[in-house]
Amino acid sequence: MLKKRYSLMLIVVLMLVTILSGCQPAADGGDGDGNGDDVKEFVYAVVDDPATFDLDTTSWHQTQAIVSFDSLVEIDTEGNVSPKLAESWEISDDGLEWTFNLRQGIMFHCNEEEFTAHAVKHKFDHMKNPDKPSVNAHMISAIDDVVVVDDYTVKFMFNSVDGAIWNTLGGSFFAIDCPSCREEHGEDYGMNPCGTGPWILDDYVPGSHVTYVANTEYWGGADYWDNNGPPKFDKLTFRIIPDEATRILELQQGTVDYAAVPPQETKRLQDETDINVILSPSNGLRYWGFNMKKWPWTNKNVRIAMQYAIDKEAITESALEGLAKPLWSALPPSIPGYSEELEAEFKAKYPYDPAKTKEVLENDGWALNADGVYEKDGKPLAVSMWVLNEGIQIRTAEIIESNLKDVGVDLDIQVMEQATLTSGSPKGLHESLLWTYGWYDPQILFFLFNNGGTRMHYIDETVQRLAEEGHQKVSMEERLPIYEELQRYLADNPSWVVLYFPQDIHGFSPRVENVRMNPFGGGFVLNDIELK
Amino acid sequence: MSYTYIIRRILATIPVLLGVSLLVFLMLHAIPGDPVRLIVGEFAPQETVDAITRQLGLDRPLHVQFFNFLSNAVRGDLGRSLITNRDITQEIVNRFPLTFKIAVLAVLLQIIIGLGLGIMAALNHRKILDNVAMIGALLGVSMPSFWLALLLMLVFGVGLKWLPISGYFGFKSLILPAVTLGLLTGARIARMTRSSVLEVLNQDFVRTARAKGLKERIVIYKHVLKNALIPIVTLVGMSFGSLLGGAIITETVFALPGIAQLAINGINRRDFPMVQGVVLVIAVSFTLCNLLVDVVYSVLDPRIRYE
Repeated sequence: MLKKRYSLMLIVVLMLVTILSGCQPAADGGDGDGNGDDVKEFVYAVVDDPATFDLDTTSWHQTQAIVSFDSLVEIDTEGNVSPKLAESWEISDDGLEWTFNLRQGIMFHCNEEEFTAHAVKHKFDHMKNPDKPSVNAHMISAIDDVVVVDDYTVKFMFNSVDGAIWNTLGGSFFAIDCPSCREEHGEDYGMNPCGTGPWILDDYVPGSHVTYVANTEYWGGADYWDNNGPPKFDKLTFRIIPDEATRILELQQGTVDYAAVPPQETKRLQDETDINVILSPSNGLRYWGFNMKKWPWTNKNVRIAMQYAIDKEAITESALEGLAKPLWSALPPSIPGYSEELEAEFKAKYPYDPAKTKEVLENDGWALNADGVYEKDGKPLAVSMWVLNEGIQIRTAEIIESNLKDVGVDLDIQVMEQATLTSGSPKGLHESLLWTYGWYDPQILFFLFNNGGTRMHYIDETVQRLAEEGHQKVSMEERLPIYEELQRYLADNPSWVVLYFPQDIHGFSPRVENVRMNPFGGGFVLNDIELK
Repeated sequence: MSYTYIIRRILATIPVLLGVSLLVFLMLHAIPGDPVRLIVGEFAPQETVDAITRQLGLDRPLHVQFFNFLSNAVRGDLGRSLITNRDITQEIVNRFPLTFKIAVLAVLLQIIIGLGLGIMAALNHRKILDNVAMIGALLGVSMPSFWLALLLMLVFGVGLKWLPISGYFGFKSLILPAVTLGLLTGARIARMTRSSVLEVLNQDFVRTARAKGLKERIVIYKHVLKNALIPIVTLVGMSFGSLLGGAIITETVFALPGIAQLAINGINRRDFPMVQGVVLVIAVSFTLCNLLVDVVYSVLDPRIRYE
């Protein structure tokens, strides 16, 4: 009996010892409690793991995966192209030959290879590899070839003009990898990235954190950055914290220096804490999109009637705590092509006016049935809407539902998760959806509507022609009138109700200084950040 | 307890695991959503979607995909993640220790809280202590884990600053998650212990034991508890099994890189082989825990024999 009891105790003690001893080594990994030592660490809270550090194998480029890379250029805070790895460039008169002069003397992180024109060529060839093309190859479909002129000069040969190519070259899709590292690691390059960027990957524990150390030899970065030297802090840790409430608690506690803030927490953080809350325009808009292949959207009058039915102010005030702006244009203020005049014109054209909705429907032959729903040819005006499983979007949908009920339209909200929605809508399984787009260039209208697009299946000759023409010019002056025409056409022939233009809300701990937002670069300029 | 019995039981898990794998495989392919769209992004043309589908082998017939998975899994190779291209076996091996540590700590807490409260309540049947214990247990059973987790974070993390709020920085990070799970599952054990002990207390042999003058402590520990333990062991065993599969909400709220996170990410991103791999591991640990429970039965009660 005694023996048995001791053996049980022994087992318990052994288990505890195992657990406790197993815990020691992990204690130094990426903790944010800023204890005494002189290592300055910036802790950045993110929602999930980087899919991979090999940017050619995913379209999902999150900050935690891209900071070790540089691109040829970068879009600055004003939306202009700022030199980065490329010092200067010339564009031929027909716009089909671009020659880049590259910066010299830049080494990749492995310190074994210098950044030259060959690395640019290698990047292009790897993306276009006929046996295994990059998932992002379509982003550079306008480029036929990249030719090495000499070590520091490289020529891009285009098959057609692509007015949005600066965004591709200036973002992470064409960030330059170290050719020899890629060859060496092959399939495992995704865990061994090597670039020329300000941060060097140090440690990645999936589900927990990604840690980078500063590249103390960093060459300087984009021209428009304040800090054209190595980063001003030593460590950059991305902590993976999936739960929103937890992220905000960590931010408040000071164990996290940056986290995105949900609208419902904004006021409290501003008023009751020392968190520095910064609002910046997001690069997209949210809309209620119709599946144009399906009844009742085949009837233009129904689509027009919907334009008057939605109280956009009510949505931004109650679902978004006033932290978004009602919108009528097809482009938000953060994308070139938006204009105040157009916006005012569209707003005057489609005010919130339930009576007008009823009038348009009744003129089209709809009549209220016994349930208070409009009906035509024995078919009640009832539609479903796919909505992403996320609080703000569900609240938005509920306001739309109640707005529509007031005008005799029956809306069925179908909440689903992202994977279901993004794979079902290209197949046209939905009747309508509440969705968001985000982009930096008016070319978004081409993506949205080309061959009908994957969200609204809007096949229309004029839309197709204008969307294509829009990015077949390089200069923005030539492109803008086309986008103006396209926006007017979309207002007259809508396939959606544009709802609002959200803001990105950023929370910084009080020790973070010199925060510069860049709406075009997706967030803030990391290299300019200083820590107190 | 014969060894042939144990071996037979282990062999019997094979059809179970096969069934679980097949079921998960079919469910994953039946639910809408496709990993390729998530990889290539919203605006990629159909040709890109098709090319990546081929690269990942998702264009092959379902039965071919399933048998490929099975034949590799038997050899211990669960394949590579569709999304991250990392080795799934390795990923599970990396994450299992954390989930295991939390599970062990939570079960220990659960036993201490559950048995303690349960026995106390039973011995003070219909007295104040009984009521207090059972109200506590009721609270524990009905409290959602994310809420308790946030409360603990607020008190011990934000308020007292004794423990990290989330993430994994060594043993101190395990305390709050283990307490969350231990309190909630311990409450169930407490209720079960109470009713089980009460039932045994009314049996004739307890009266006999008392009548022959045994000390009350001996009566309780040696006669009552040992007989009352059978249903409790079942409950503890089951909860250990499910904790080894990772506690989804707790791991999410505390940002812990355990097995459950892997499963959740896999499901959200439609990472088919990842989900299959994780579920297989969960199924194995569950069946092993069940076997363990059966073995413990026969130790506790020699009348139970397996042949």
